[in-house]
Amino acid sequence: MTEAASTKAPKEASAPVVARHAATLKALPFSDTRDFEDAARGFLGTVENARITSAQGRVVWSLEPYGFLSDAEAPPTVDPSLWRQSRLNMNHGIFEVVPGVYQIRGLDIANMTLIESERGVIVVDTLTSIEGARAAMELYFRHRGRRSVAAVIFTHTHTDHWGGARGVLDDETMASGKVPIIAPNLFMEHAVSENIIAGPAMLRRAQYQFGPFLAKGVRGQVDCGLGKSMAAGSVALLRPTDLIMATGDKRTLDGLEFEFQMAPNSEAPAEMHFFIPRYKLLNLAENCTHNFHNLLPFRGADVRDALAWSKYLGEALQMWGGKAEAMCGQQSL
Amino acid sequence: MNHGLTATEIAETIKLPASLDAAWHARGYYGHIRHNVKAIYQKYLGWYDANPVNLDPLPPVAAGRKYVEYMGGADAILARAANDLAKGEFRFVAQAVSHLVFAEPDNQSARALLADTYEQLGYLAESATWRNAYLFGAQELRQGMPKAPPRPPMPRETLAALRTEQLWDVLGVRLNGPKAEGKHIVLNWSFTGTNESFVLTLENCALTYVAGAQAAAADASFTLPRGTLDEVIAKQTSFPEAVASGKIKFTGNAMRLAELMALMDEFPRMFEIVEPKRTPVS
Repeated sequence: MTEAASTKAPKEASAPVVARHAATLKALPFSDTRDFEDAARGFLGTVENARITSAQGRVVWSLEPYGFLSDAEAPPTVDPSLWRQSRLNMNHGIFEVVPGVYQIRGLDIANMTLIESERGVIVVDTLTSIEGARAAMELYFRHRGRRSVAAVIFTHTHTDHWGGARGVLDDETMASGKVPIIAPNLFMEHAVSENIIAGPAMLRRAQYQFGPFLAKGVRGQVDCGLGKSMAAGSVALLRPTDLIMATGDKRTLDGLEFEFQMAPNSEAPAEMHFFIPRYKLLNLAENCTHNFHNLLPFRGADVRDALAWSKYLGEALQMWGGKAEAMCGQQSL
Repeated sequence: MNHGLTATEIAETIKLPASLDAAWHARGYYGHIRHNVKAIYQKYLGWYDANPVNLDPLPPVAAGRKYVEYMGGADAILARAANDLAKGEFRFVAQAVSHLVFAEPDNQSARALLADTYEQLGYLAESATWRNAYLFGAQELRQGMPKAPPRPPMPRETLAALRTEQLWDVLGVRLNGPKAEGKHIVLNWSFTGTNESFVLTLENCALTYVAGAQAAAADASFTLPRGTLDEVIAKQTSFPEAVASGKIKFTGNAMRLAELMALMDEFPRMFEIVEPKRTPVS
């Protein structure tokens, strides 16, 4: 290596950093490994390295560059607690939540939930990209057999939860107009408007939040906290056909009853939770994740309402806490 | 907040209760208590901490130059900073040397030392987003900004989802105020299909609109389907082409629209963050 190149390369962790990591190892309950068992529970299968390519052969998602995370022990250049979370976020594939409810995890920064209904399947959140959503559906079909999509639900307005909708609904299904797309009130207004006024600045700032231009490695990007990284690929916004307006609203979708709870101005300006009595399943969208979520992302956004957010979680517990036997979210859970 | 602490002080003081602090699911991998409490302060009290010293501070370059002068110049700062860096005083070293980088962005020793400091802060961070921020800052100080691919145009489906008012807001954001000095342009818009009408007015260097109206004394009046406007924005057609093909009809002086569009800024994909802007913004 030339001297010029070496000054540009990442360096070792210094002694004070090493000392702090040693203290963290003592302070936190690393011997508690239940999260690893929980994160692997219900695993049915996956796509090798979670690798997804576009029709042109471009890689839109792959966990292959994160192979260095196979080491259980954190290197000196990564906080041991973050290392643990980065390893948990390496779980990928299709997972059974309860019989009849499945999640695709680790094929995007977000999760897709598939809920089997009378004749078909209801898809909750469609990942960031059309390519990712297609791969997720194929993985589901491979393990559960081909079923027609009976409805699509968008839990909230962030792109990683709707961008891939056209990978779930093909042209023919779209043209038939028979598949409802269900979303919280004011979905369209907020899906795009959050990025309207300051979008160009947000895109640049997001590079500092997610680190897409950093090399992945022990001296580079290891995770995003919620998941591994931003997905690439093509995105298209579909207009919902049915808006949920109020807490307590119900829908019967392909024979399956859903009860909804509104959670506006929480993690997203328009967001909702739901409960499915038949599966005794509660879905808290992205308002309940396996980490401390963000009240103001570094990319920049309207500041989120922590008080309202906490009340929605309390209300959900009150409404369904005694009935729910399983809970899932749409991110890092 | 009501004890009188400011956002920085609260972040330094507040801890999760023991029952949550050691719970893995409450650790700050994405958000973090230290920046989430600042967000709460922002929500209820805003950016101003009520100390008038923070009411009108000098911006980074001007402040950086004066700090460097007061601190005895670059060499004195770097000598102290290297010493403190070795002791692990990363946060203050970053603050001090960042002033030097904003004062002297071509000082390679300053850039290298600040990069080393950000890097150690990144290695320390439990939050993945903090780590990414520090390590990317270090990388940009060492290597400069990466060449990002051009921003893809907004897909038609996404564009179609925007209300027409939002399209005018975007134009308002892009208007270069100083270039618009002294200009007065009034344009009527009428969208077939959606039955919307607007008066778009440039006056006092601001672009405003009124919905559901048409001005009697407009410079020009345009009639078109909303979808045609989307095609023009998505660059699938141009305004003159759409006029030639009859999709857009107009009366009056259509060149006033061209005059307005010439005042619009194109925003850069990349801009400096950890060092001064190289291209002046006017």
